[in-house]
Amino acid sequence: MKSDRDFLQVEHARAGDYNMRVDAELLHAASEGRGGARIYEWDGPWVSLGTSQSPDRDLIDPAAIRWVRRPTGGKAVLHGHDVTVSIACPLSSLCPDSRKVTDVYRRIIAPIIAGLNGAGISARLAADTPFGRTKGRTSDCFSHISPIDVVDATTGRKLVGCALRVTREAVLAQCSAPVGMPLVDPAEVFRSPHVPQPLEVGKESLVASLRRELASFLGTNENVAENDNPLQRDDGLRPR
Amino acid sequence: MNVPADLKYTKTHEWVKFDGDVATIGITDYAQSELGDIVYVDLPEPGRVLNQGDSFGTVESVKTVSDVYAPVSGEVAEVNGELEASSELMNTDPYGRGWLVKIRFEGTPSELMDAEAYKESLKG
Repeated sequence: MKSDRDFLQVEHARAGDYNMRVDAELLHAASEGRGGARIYEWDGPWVSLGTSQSPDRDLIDPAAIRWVRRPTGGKAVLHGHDVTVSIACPLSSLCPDSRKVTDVYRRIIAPIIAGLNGAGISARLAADTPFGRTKGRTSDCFSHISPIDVVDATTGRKLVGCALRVTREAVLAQCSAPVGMPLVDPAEVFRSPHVPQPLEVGKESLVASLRRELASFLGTNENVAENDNPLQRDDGLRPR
Repeated sequence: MNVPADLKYTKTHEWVKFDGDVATIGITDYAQSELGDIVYVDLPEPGRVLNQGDSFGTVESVKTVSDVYAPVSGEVAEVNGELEASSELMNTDPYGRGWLVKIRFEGTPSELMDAEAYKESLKG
């Protein structure tokens, strides 16, 4: 996809409600033809819930941790120790049919996989490895592996939690890659949580690699301005 | 792919069955097969007024939330409450028990395809 209006942004750690609001704006901008991506962190421990999840049902104690609802599907993700990437594109640039969600998923996740590979991590879609589906009853995203999850090609370990929102006009992917140990014990947040296993790569080298791949995917300049919300800018001041 | 001859279809793969001034709406067999296992559906409250083309709800499958669109304008008369506990009916019986909403429609719906045109569109 190529558009001189597309943008890539690397941002400060922020609160979850801010991050979700800007991601929703990202989807809206993509609906109007402007693709974009954000690489960001969270200002402490947060949980993001999938659209259909419920804090009372899916968290041990919703009052014990800050939580926010994502515009995307999937299960709950514990944040604060991760790098999160959001990508939004006009659907026409990926796949004209909004119902072909697996095709859309494969295409939009490609720069994430390439970014992991560029940082020295052997990442693949689970469907392209011998590692099959695992299904649990827990609400924790990292306790499940589906064929469209990004896993370690050698061990099958899930590397990235990723979920989508697809409309007639655009698609938003939100992807979380843990780069450290959780800031709170997942066992205090989820019933039957996963065993935390951060990526064996430095955050800076991962962000640098993701930045290169996302810039290439979007056809924009990777030397972006940092730490402000591009969607609040005038188009003439886009971060290029 | 099952495409019943007595229904009308949209480009976004919803089907419509007209009965007097009520249009029953669901997603097609093609749509459910592409979406995969549907785990959740969010539908509007009865009484909501929709314009043709409006998003009236979402379905979730394979970690993806997808919008569904109104093929006609009008007021939501009824929603399929059975889907709240059994969203898989959209996969197993998309033209029957997997219906989504009934809309008391107004005007003459446009841009709907008949079964033959919809089948052709799937080839593209």
